[in-house]
Amino acid sequence: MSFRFLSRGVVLIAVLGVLATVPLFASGAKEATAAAGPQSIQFVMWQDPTYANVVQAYNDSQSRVKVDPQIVTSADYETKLTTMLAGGVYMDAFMEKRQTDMFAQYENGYIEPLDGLIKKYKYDTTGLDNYKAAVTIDGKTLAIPFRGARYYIYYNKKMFADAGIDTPDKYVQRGDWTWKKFMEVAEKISSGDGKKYGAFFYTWGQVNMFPAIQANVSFITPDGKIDINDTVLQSFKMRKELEQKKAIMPYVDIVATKLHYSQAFYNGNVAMLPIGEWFPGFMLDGKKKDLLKGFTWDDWGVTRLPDDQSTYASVGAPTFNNIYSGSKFKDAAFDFIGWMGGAQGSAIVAKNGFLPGMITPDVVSALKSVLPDNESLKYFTENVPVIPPYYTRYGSRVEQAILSTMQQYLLNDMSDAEVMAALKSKLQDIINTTN
Amino acid sequence: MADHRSIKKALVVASFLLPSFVGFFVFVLLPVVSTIGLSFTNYSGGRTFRLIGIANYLSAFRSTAFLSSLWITARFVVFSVFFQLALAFVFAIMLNGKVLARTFFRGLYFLPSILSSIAIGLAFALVLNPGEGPVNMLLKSLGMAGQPWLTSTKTALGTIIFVSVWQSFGYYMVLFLAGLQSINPSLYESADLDGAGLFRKLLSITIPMLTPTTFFCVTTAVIKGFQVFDLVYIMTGGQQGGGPDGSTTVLVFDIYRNAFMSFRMGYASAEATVLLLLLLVVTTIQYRSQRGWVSYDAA
Repeated sequence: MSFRFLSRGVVLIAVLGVLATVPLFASGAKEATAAAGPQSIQFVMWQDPTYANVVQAYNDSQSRVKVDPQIVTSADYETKLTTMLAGGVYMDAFMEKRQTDMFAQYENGYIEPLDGLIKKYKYDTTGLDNYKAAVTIDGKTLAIPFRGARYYIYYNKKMFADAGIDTPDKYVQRGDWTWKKFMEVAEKISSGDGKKYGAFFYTWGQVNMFPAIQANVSFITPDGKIDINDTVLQSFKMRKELEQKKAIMPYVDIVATKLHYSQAFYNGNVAMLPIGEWFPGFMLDGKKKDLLKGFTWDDWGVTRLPDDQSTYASVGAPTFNNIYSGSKFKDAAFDFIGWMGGAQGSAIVAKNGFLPGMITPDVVSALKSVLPDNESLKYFTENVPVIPPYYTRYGSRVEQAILSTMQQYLLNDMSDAEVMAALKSKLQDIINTTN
Repeated sequence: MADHRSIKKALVVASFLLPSFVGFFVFVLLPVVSTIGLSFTNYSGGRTFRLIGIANYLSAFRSTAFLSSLWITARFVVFSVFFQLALAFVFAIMLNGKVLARTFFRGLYFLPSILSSIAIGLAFALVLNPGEGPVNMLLKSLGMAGQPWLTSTKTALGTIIFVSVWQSFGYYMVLFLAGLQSINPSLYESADLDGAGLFRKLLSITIPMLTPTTFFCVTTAVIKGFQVFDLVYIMTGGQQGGGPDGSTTVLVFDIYRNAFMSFRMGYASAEATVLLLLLLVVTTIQYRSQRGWVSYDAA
């Protein structure tokens, strides 16, 4: 009797012990499932119908590799990816959302350099070469861009017509599309009571630092020195002055209400939106869902960012894919990310309203259908230099330093010297505490 | 035979303890020990990290962001705990008496504490929207100016404290109600015979007899207060929140930002360890000081 009870106790302990430890090995079991037939690979990406279309198109186009997308919500992507990598979750390749995160991931040994695979497969590097600097660290190519990088001014023609003011492309043609002119135009077109805004600056650091980035300010150089000048102050002042004149929506209101830039533009009360090359995709979506208020598809356009420098340069870092260093199927993963950043992938990316890394005649033809007119197409696809913002290992923290200093400046009375000293102190702290 | 019996007994006891111990070990002890260990490294989420001694702790105590987050957290804890417990006590006293629909009101006030903080944060962010939020629209319709509830450094923390109090006081109210109902009615009857008024009974019977409940409520509310994160994250702008101008950046939010936005996981672990020590110190002080004011006399 007592012996039987002892057995039950032991069995119970064993069962509970096993049950308690099963979750610890659950992810390990998944790795071992390498199937015959097309090589299956795990690809971590954020939730976006365009990217799902691209993956589907790749899977349909060949039978060598089958991509199994691991979809993560867009808002949490950077955090989740970091956690997945640190937690040893198996994957073969992943999309990079915040480009400067690549530095930390590379230093942590998560990214496979691609030079060997590029050579092995004689990969066409046309698209890659356009953004070589943005995907190279220590001379090693670490990623294949699939989406180009460029900020533009998107504008609402109807608001300009109603105000009787020239649209921004006219200033570009005349060669006087400077930030001063931009401010002048924004102020003129705004109603001054918060009902109509001349422009909308989103809450990202780079969006608020265009004049500085175009002047090649890197904030912290790759070798750890502070690099700021008066264009940084000019950028801060521009935002503050426009906010005070109610020509743009206040930064704190946008953050607190989480108003997305697309929604602001759809609402039809924002005349100019400086945002990236992906925005035509949002406009397509807005048109499809009937979200455009008070204007139609023909009432918007795209042109250059204003610029105070002698040679025009846009701003932006490409969006790219990396291969995970622990991948068991690096060749298959390269086949996929190479295709996505190549001619075929680029055409699909373009059809969905994004500027791909590679511009081919097929891409231009696909982009025609996602832009309102030929003038916009011309500016959208023109070949201009593009400066990646604070593209160093310090980049992710530089963004926070810019934004916290800007908030201080916007909400308090600070002299020019005080605001620059505050930013300098934050940058120095980053240099001192980056391992 | 006796040995067999004691082994059998030990195994039976172990079989009951094992599941919770495995859970505690895997989900509490191991992460706590790992966090303390990582706080002495430059860990940034990868395989290549090294020991750097107490450098993270030194950086933290030299950092204005960390010190400011400690100060903001302290303000949050003091005000939120005070108002949560004060309101909970008052409502418990009111709803312990014979009032109309008291069961309904007890349930109503308790309801927010079982709702998700995310849902509550989103709802309040919408209600307090600076432009088109119902609260400001109402103020404007009454001829008053709309208030920058979450967009001013002067009001943002207070607004979050208000929401936290609104969400949690019902929970403590239920605990106080349970405490009130466990007080022996004969104490009040004796006080009545002695001619004691309502205020005297409150001071001499109700409050002293509720001290064990109050002690439990203060301890748990303080711990919860130090851990506040979700309301700040949701109501002030997600990853870019903690503002305006850092005015709502509480310690856990700073830890989150350092760990997941700046990849300073070693540093964030040091901050988390400081939080752990702070909670241990505060709880120990509370525990020790209870001897002076908590009465465990049988009711």
